[in-house]
Amino acid sequence: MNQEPRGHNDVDLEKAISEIQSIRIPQMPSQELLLSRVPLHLQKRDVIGHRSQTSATESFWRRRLPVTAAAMLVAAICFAWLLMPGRQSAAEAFNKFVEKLAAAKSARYQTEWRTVGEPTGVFQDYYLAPGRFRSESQSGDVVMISDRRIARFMTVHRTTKRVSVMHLTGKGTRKPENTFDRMRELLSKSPDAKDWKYQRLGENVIDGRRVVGFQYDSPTELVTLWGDPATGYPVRIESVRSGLPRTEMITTKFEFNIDLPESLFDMTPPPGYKVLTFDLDFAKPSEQGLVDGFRTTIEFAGGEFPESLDFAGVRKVAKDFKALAKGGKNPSDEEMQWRMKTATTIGNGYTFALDLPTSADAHYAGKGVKPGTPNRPIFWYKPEGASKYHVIFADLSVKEVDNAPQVPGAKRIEKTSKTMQPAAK
Amino acid sequence: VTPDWQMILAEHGAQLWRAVYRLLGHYDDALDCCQDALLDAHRFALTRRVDEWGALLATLGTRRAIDRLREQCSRRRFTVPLQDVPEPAVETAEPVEQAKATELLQQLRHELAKLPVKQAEVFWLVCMEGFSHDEVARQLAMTPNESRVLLHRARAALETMLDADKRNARWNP
Repeated sequence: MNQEPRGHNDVDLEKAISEIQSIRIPQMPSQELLLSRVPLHLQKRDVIGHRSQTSATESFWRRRLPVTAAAMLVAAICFAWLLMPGRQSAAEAFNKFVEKLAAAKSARYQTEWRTVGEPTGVFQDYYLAPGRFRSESQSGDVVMISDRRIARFMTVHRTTKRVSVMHLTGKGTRKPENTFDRMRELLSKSPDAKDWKYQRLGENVIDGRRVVGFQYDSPTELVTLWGDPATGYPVRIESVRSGLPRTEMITTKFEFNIDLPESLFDMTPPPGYKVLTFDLDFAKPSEQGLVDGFRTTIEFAGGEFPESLDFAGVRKVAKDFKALAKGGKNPSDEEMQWRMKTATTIGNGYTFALDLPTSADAHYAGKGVKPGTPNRPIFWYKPEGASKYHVIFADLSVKEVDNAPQVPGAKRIEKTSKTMQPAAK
Repeated sequence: VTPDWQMILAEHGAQLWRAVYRLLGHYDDALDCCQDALLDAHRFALTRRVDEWGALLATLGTRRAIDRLREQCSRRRFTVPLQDVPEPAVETAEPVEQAKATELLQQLRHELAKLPVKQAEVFWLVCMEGFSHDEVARQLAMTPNESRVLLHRARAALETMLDADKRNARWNP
């Protein structure tokens, strides 16, 4: 610490400095949380060019800058005139909107969920950085509040006067998802996105505003963004998830950086409501999670593997689950605990399989296979960067093999955003 | 070479977090400012070469945190919502001592927000974070002598303000 000359009456100042230096500092937040506003793909692409300059080049430009600045300015204007309007690459233009989204500290917007086989749900969503989120159903019957920092979310059912509070636990616990952080993470953390992944959609008019559109094909979602070039903010974002069932999320009516009262995100259950508390193992999707998902499915689905890992297969598992669940719409507390635990295990496991990128060459071949059959592959994929395939067998053992197994009837896991028809509007 | 944020944060993240949290004494505010500082650093790195990531992050974090302090002071609220109250930061056995220490910290933060920005930044980076005048001067685009002068002025102003606070408290217990 620097020892600076002190005045004669600075006892309080020294005391304050010493107190501050002895402050108890809480644990640093995770890197993921700290970097949640940094658009990493922009950083990577742009900085590569910057870093490639040598110090000699920098020194040259520093010396020559006054002389060459005017000429460069003229050249830049001519070049810009030749390229404009609309000659900026789609990736760059898209990323300008993403930057605004990444820097937002609060937002209010409407989200519409369209899921195949389900009625469309419309929600009013609120977001307050860092990580606080509130979603209200259009009818106002259900309110969901989550806080990513403490991995907790609460659902308030106003009609039944019930509150479910969920604490997420487990190794590498995933944070509770909210639509805003998900959008930001999806759009800002795609370091491998190439220019050809972006497509310009031209101009459109939304709510009386002239907007420009882009499509971005990420490994997990197909995203369409309409932004207002006058403000630089997104106006409408549509995304189609690659998981099952096919789900479209459409966010509109954005308002950014507005004052939102803290009380909106208060996680105290309302008085007079019945509170149910769950500790859910919400570990990051993993291969072991998929094995656990298969095991749990076998346990309650009459000793069978799912018919397929696509919409039909997952729907059948959900149907079996509903049929076996006791208590109907008014389950006991123990029954609710069991339902949540089972659904989380299965959901977590299948998410791993369904979120694998196309390059993983994932296949499922478990239909009609008796659990425990030795040497019978039911699922295989190639982990990113690996040279060998990982194979899950019917006895739920996992082995590495050089080549993909050849099993008649094996089905490749496809992204639903490409393979299924849109949900009904 | 691409900036490796994981490595940068592993090396300098704790220093950034400590600088910002000490200034604000509030987890949520500190997190918000750190996120802003990292976004600032990202934008900075797009246009210029960064040789001293530690000093850069500490400077940007300090700047954001001082801005936040100034914003809070300018609101002049008579009541403070419970969630905005700084977290108890000082551990002492005696509750009275703890209250006094917490009050002194709050006073220092309050007075720091009244200083000219450059003075506050230099004071914090040199006195609290232990950076040399040379390092601070490079980050704030000034000479080391200017940094020394700013620190001297900051200390003198803070001493006067803390002294005045003390006298006022004596007359208005």
